[in-house]
Amino acid sequence: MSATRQHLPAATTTPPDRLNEDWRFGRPQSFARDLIARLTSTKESDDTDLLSCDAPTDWICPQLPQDAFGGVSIASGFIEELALQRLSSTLALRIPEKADAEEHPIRIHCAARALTCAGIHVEVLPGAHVRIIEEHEHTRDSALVALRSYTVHPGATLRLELRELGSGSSRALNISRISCAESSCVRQLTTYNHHLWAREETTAFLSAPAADLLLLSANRLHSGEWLDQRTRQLHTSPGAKSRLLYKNIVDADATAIFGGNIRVQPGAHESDSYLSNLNLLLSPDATVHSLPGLEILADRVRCSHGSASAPIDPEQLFYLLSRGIGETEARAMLADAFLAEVHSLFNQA
Amino acid sequence: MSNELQRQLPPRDTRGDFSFPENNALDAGYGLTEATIDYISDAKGEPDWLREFRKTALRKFREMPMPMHWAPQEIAGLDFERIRYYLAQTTAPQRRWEDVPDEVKRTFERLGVPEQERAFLAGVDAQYDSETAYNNMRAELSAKGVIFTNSTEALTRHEAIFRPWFGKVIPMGDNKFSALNHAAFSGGSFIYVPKGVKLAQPLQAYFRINSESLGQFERTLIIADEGAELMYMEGCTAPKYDTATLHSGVVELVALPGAKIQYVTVQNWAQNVYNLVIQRGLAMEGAQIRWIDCNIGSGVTMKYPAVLLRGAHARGEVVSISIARDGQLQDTGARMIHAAPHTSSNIVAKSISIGKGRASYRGEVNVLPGMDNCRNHTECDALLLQSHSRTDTYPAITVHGDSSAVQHEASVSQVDEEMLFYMQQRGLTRAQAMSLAVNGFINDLVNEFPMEYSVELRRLIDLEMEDSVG
Repeated sequence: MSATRQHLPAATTTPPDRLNEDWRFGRPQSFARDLIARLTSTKESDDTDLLSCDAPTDWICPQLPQDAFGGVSIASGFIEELALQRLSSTLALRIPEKADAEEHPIRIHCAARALTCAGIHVEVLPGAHVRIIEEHEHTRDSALVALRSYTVHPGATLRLELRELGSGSSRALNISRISCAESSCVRQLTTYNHHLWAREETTAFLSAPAADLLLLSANRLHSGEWLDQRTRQLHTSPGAKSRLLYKNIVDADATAIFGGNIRVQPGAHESDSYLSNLNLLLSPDATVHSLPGLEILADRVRCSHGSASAPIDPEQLFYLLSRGIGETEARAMLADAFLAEVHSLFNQA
Repeated sequence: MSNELQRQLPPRDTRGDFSFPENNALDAGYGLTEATIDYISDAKGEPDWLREFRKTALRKFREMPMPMHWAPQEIAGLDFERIRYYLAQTTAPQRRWEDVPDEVKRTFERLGVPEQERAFLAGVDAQYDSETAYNNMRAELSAKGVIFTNSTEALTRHEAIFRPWFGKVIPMGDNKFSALNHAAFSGGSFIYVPKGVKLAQPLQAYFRINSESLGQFERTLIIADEGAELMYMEGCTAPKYDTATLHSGVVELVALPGAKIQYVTVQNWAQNVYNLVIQRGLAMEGAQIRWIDCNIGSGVTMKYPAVLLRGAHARGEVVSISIARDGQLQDTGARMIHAAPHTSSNIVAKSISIGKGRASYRGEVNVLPGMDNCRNHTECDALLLQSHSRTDTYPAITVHGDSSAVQHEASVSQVDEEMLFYMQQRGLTRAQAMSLAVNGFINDLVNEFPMEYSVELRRLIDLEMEDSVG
């Protein structure tokens, strides 16, 4: 962990505010403040054992490793520290070498209550192949701070699906670290449904050659929902590859924020990295903020990014209407097709 | 670079790296206080409203923090107390080169300004340190009602035309550096082109810093009345000093309905210059504003030409080239604010980082709520020439509603080794091959510059490349 932390800015010791660029457009004064109020309140109960997992019992470790979490938040270091102090539900999973759990995925379930601080630490040992479905299920007005750490060792494969199942009035903050070792292969798909507010901070470390990472997200936002996603693809070693595709359908008065960054450290030549944020706008009251970034400190790299925010293509809509499909159905079909690419990429890869 | 290669190649373009001894009759000294403002206002004979305006701006400047939460950390090294805010030989610009003080005239002759004026310009404004030394325009344009003057003359003799727009596109409280410019501005070009008048030839300003530790705060306001068209070009040079020099200009463009303004900058300041410039245009209905921007010099540049698209069917465009060598930070970009429906904008930015140079693109595209059918396309390409070169891209895109489309794409690349090998096989040196490849990378943008500038720009880039690659 310390080896990776040296590439990150020092953890923030103050609550996020409007001058914090990684919270730009993210309304820190309301959303971050609300979470901090809950985390510092003595009234909130800290339910325990809210995490369950159906992995073989000998894969589940009785204790978390030292320094399992912390220090990887993109701009919520203050919240991360508070959550660490109140960590009530934890899970440490160690997938043995050459284990094969692709066909029968491991399910991790987290039941979020009024305030839940959960820690999930997964280590995929060399040569193992595993698929994990992580579900965060929320009750009314719940708040979850989930610290997630996934370490994938050389030659291992991880296919990880995070499903955020909100209650309409729930709030969630996922602070995730993904470490990719030599020749490892990681695929992550996140989906956020029915949260009043959700924020994702994902930092991926590509610290060895031939590491291969694919980050995906597909979301449909409805009335009053805020989704704020911040990602970092950090190339510290030559010859690694990372791809990111985050797609959102923004309906009613929902707001989608994406802030992504590819950083190629000095010496990380032959890095191959791509980042794409695509948004489909379905309502006159919808709002999208997109901040795709690049910081390239080495040459002989292939790095690019793209961002596009647009309504439904009128030609595509006309095509369906001319075939007798009603407008509502046609729009729904096109919206489904927009997100289908992400699911298809996750399943193919 | 190898010694052999160094011998073969011409030196860097250092035509601007010379200076004459200071001969300033007017010197407000170091630091910016109310007394400095009184000194400037007295020297210029300004009306009371302008003096008070400057003092209000000074208070705002002192209150506002440096924008360190987003700006490059390099600007933290700027010490406002070690800058001289007003230096001039005289306050009145001359209309004939013969009347310009000798060393000032020789400076601009060495830079080729009178020659260019004779060859292809409609008018020239030549600023030396804080004041305009020479300002002239072809007689036929004056007859058509075109006004081309400096800030002092504009706000005293043509107050009715310029005052209503002065500080309206970039208000004094917009940011710390706009407040600074509102407090200390001097020189620059104020232009008014009447309804329907289309200038066939460009107007040009040349900004020259001669003195050490100077802060040059030129102020430019261009108003193109309905259906008017003009092109304005500015060039900048300064000698290299050990102490920091600050160039913090403010450029406001107002394109009234149907007008077109094209603003071309070729910036080649010395590396001790902090070049922190605010450029913003207001495009009314059906108007077009186009910024063509090339940044080669300075130590630190922060410049994001903007267009506020205020009328339906207005169009904004930014074409930007920046080259960052060792010790340089070119933090450039563009802003497009869609504040009216059916507006469109386009941004094309290309940067080249050489040695330890750092080139950044920082941009903003904002489609405000209720503005339907807006379009933006942004393209940023960066070329890294050496293993420790750096490039960054920081765009911010906001879209409201379900009828506008905004696209952004960026890529980072390097010169293909196979391409270099091919050219070297045909007898070019590696430096020449690299120069050709780099010129190819920015060729389509260089073509956007007026002919005289594009030829010059290519030559400058050749020198930059050949001097740094080996």
